[in-house]
Amino acid sequence: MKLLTICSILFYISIGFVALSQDSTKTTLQKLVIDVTFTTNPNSEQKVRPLMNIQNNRLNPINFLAIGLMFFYQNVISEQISANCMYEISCSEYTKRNIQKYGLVKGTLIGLHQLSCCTSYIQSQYCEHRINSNGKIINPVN
Amino acid sequence: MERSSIQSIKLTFLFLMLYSCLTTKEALGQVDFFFLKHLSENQLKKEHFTYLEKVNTSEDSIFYFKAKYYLQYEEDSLFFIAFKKSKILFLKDSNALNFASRYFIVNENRELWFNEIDSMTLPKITDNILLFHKLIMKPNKNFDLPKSFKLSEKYLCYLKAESKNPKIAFMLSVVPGLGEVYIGNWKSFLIKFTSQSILIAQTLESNRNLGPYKPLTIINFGFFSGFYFSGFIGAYRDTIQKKKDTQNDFLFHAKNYINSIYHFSLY
Repeated sequence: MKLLTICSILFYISIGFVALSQDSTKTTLQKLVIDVTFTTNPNSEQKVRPLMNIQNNRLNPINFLAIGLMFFYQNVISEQISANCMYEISCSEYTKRNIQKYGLVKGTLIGLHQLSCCTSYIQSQYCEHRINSNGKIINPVN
Repeated sequence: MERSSIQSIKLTFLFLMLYSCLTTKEALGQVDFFFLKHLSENQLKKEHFTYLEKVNTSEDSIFYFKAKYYLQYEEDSLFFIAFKKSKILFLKDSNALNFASRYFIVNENRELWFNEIDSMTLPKITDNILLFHKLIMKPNKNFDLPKSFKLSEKYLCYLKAESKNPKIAFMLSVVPGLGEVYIGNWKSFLIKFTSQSILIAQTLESNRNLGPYKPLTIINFGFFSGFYFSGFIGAYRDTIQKKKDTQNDFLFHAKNYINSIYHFSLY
């Protein structure tokens, strides 16, 4: 029994040495492949989107609630459905900013207008300078 | 004399010459124009700024060089401050004037810049650029523009958009998407009209089958009314935005046209 235990310990130690030696003898090509495979893709990283710009906000509770709902959508639902907006400032973010700027009714209506036009079909309607390098429509909040 | 001693004398002489050049320049406070040109061409921003901060010369000329620096690195507000302090010198430099005019033609501070130089005697290139600005400020149907770079076409688009009234677009949106047709956004009309038709059909259908006070009917009606009323404000804002877009589009084409026929350099 003792012999068996000693043998098994030696076996596991030897496996460890083999693994270590393999690791040290990795070719540069193997390392390159591993690096490429396991490097995090910057596009797949979750965007950190803040709730709102507190400096400019008057803290109207109804606006706050609407912005909170948008925040929930952006950070929970949008990530799950892989939403990809045609605009530079996404529809939800645009609505959020407009609610902050113009209030609930006008802000929501402006956001809904953008949402109703959010298709790739509409892109050719805009001038060249309104399309950014990523092919998204530039939509300043004004 | 030995060869090595002659060489050492030569080296000492050279060193003394170089030292005297540098010290004299610092003492007299002259700006080394070729050095500045080198810094500018190689975009050595930090070195350029440090040199301008350290050089000891008259206030007028230092602000003139600073204005050029801020112009190159697109720091508009600082440029205007430096420009106002060295206006006489800056207006004499046709290269800088042309460069600034070309930069500001597509910039948000366009009006401010051209108002500053409007009453001055300007070089030919700046005068040509100013013409585009004047066409924007006072829309003129009897314009005379070169046919290249679609300039006339773009200007006609601008004139067309300029004649549209946002209030009319707002009122036309009673029919979903008609306000968008008014400003020429046919694709927006198609999308809006189709989506609104589907939404109203859905609302009517749920109203007929389930009744008016059922949750699904209320949700459908909410969606329909939200998108319907968004069409009004959307058409109004799109009309204003279209004016800006066509104006910028014309100016971008004008800038491309200017770039194709003239050569610009700051130094």
